[in-house]
Amino acid sequence: MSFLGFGAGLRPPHYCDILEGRVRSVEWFEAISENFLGFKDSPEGRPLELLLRVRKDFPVVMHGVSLSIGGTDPLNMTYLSSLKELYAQVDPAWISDHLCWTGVHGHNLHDLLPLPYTRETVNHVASRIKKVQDFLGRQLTIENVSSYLSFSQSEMSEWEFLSEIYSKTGCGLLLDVNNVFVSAHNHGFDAEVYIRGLPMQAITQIHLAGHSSAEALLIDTHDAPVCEGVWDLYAFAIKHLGPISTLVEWDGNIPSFERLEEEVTHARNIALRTLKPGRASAASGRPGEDLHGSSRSAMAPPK
Amino acid sequence: MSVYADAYFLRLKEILSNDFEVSKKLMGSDLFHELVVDYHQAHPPSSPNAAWVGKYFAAYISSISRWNEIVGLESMAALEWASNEVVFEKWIDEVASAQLGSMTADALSASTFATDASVRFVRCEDLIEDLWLERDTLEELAVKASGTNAEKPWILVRRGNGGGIKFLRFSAGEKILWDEISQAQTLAEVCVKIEDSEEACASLAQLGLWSQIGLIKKIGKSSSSENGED
Repeated sequence: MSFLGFGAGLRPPHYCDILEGRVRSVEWFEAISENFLGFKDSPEGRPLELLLRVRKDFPVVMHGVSLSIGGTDPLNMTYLSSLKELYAQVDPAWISDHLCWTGVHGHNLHDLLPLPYTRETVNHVASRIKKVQDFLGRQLTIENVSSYLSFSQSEMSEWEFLSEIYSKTGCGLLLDVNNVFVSAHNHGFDAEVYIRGLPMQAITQIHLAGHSSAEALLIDTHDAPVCEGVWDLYAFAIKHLGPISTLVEWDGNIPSFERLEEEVTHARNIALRTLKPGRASAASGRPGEDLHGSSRSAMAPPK
Repeated sequence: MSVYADAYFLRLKEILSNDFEVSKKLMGSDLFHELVVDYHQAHPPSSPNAAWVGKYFAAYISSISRWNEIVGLESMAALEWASNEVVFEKWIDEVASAQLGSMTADALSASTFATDASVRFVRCEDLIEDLWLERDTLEELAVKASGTNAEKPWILVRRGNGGGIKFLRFSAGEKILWDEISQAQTLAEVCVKIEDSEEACASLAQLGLWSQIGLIKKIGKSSSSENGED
């Protein structure tokens, strides 16, 4: 998977900045698929023309929130057909959704709900991922979600679960560093052990975001700057994995585009500091991804 | 578990609060909370797109006596949903400017106004007040439209109940009115952006007048009531 550099989530308050050419640091965008989809029972999503205009100037990745890959309802083929049509028009660099379930009996809960990490669930999820990949004719990338409960039935750790899913499906993995940080706090595991336990060759993308706290828990709210602990964990991840396309999400209390770009620039600076020349390929073992000699010049700002 | 249970309801309430901000102000936060609870029991979300959570909100208010007795609430909810939905409206057959000009007032008022993404791109340096031309009657709109270039899209604010029409014509593809409108989450904010008059919006909200924010290039001839319910 190509290294796109450092990106940001595409959100309506920033459309004007993006389309008027006020992008300085962001190199690519991630759009929420559902916002641009049409469905049988609803008219179209936001006008696709908007997304296509962004796509003219930037790589775009499509990120879904309603696939419900871990759900027990049958896969929604109407939804998948709409996705396929959308991808054909946008030509995203890759596509992703979450390792979770989002609804039951046709009701969409609009939340990313955790799964029990059992062998049975591995087989269930892997089977559905393969069906989705076959139908869409492309690799699906799966993101780890933050969670606030765990199942006593779980037979393995979350990172072992993700590894099993990858080995059975060949899917990509979207490592949300903030989600690892949040879940590690909530469940008491070691975030670095989690990251070291993932199959590094599968990791396509990294997410960074802010979170909030509620009593003893951390909540993945995406409404604040990335905290120092998450930046530190990001540096660890980059050091361990090598250059990975990195994206900052900010969904609540959305700041100015300029402020968002500061976060993206900070991510780039951390990567630059961490991946000093000669270290990247040695750390990751990925051919062609050394900072020098890479086809990407993306460690430097685009403009 | 409470994190998930609370987040589910709060997320849906937040979506409805954003989409129906003026309605919420009309009835107050406590009653709005109760309405949201009732509504979600009747219409749990089913679309993958969270933007459609409020699709049946106005119809639900209309169907329940406890809620439809609140003066202006049903109309305002329908109005706010229409202003939201117009951004998502499906493409419909285009009508040439000559056809637009020949439409009667009744036909025009019964039309569905569809979005055209290109209309969002106008020159930001143009002063809004200079862009707007006010016309008091539908007939004047029709006369004006008949003499225009069909390739030039329109942005239009239509007011029912004899409120007249304001409209704007501009060149597409250059710059963005989007920054004027997209950051507005509610009809009231849209009106503030467009009219630069909070007072007008407050009056609108209090009176519960029907209005419609339309970004139009294409006009269909279906009933306007279909705009709120597809």
